[in-house]
Amino acid sequence: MTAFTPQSTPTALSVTGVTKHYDSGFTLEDVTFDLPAGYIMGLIGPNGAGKSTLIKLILNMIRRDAGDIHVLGLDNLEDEEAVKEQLGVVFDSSYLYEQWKVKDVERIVAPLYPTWNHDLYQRRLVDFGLAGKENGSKRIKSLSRGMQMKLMLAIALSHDAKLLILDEPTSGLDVLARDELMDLLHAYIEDGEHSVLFSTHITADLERAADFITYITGGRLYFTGPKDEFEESFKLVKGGPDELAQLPADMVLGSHVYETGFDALVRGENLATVMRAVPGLAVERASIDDIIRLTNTRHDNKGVL
Amino acid sequence: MSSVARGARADMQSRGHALISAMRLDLVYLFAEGVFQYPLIILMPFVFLLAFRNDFGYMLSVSMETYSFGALIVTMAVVDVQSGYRLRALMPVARHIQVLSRYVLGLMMALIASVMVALLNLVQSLAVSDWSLAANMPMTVGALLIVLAIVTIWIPLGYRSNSVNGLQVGLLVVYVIFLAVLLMWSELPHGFTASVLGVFAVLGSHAVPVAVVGLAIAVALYAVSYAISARIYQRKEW
Repeated sequence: MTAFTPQSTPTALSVTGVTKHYDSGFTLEDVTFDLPAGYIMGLIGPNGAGKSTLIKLILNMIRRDAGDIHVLGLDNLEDEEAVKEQLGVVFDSSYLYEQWKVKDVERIVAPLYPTWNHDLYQRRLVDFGLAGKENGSKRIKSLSRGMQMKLMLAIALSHDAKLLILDEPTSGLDVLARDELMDLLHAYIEDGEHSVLFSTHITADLERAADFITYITGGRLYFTGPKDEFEESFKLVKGGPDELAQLPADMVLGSHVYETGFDALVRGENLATVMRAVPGLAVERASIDDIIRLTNTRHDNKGVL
Repeated sequence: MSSVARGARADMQSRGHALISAMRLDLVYLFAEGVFQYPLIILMPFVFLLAFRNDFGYMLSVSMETYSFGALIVTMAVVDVQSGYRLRALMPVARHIQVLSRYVLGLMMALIASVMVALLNLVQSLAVSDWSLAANMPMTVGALLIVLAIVTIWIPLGYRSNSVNGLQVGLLVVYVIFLAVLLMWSELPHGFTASVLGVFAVLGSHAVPVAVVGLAIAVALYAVSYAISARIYQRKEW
């Protein structure tokens, strides 16, 4: 695990030693990371890794078994109301009652937030194609998933939330809408006071938008730190079918065998040792997809099990 | 004013705002399908009252009125489960305040039900010449206590349940019990109903101490129910 601790920037989100056990057997184990204010952090991991569990813990939707969570310096349990005034949240599906009409949403949600900005909300509705009489009369259930996401985003952006938490926000969006969202998130953090934590399966979004990566797999923190450091920390080595068995097993984080050869992921600091063991291997930069894919395979010197 | 007093006052205002926010959201969920059917539901018992103009019509009307307000509390729990609780989880209102909101609304429902039953009694006394307004006033208290009982029992069950079907079955059971009571009452021997009413009459003759004891018991049970609900909701996970 690689840890990153910001020294000078104020912290938007601080997660320390957070653990959650489920009766099903799944455990989110001892997760620690910090998101400095003014940055975007991508929360990544395969399905069932614990991303949504972590987000629910931050929102106090589920109870943690150990650890601490602070949002903008406030404890998320003791100062729950103050914390939630500062949070804007977008889930992968709508949290609004499906019978409500779009035109009623502001009347319902605005009184919950002392800093609600009517003009800003209306501008967001226009930007997101949700303004007008026709859209206003639509019920939430009749909106597409992408439009529901945009409506939640319009709410999240209209009460000066200092921390946006987005759970798979791009999963219902086409490429253009995803680009727009990424631009919007960049504009949102420009003043250095706002921050974004977003979980995603779409690594192209991370390439474009994320400053930091927190990678969870199997309920454990695998990496947290600057995105560039994440990509530089790993190398992809490629070789012939017989060469995989010659690699030092304890240095191969994961591998995939093809008919003509293999891909194996190793840590950057172990690359020289690996190359000494098997000279002539091809070395490539590991993409985020490669890292996720290969750290979720098992390796026994013969390839993937 | 000292800074401590100012802080306490600000804290009170903040809690008051949080309570009102939670109550608003409860009402918004409740009336999501529109408010127009509710006046109809509340006024329908008056139609039955005037159509029958007898004991049966009165009992039917009182039961309908009381049940309607009790059912609103049940409906809130069903809507909670249907809408996935997620907005409640996000709203900047502490969980115990959200629970308190529902008990305040429950009390309001009970009081309105009580007033409506008093109005039914009044209308009946105007429509039926030998109807005793005073003798039937205990029904007003009865409606209040029944709605409070529904709130006391149902809100903790609602918080505990994660199943819409379970809550809807529960709603049906409450309705069947109400109907059964209504039908049993009209089918029971007159001597029995007279003796039951006699008990009410005796209680009515000691109205003040009975009201004080009844109120104390109701408040105590209501408070216990709130504590149980707050505990369940505090531990609830989504």
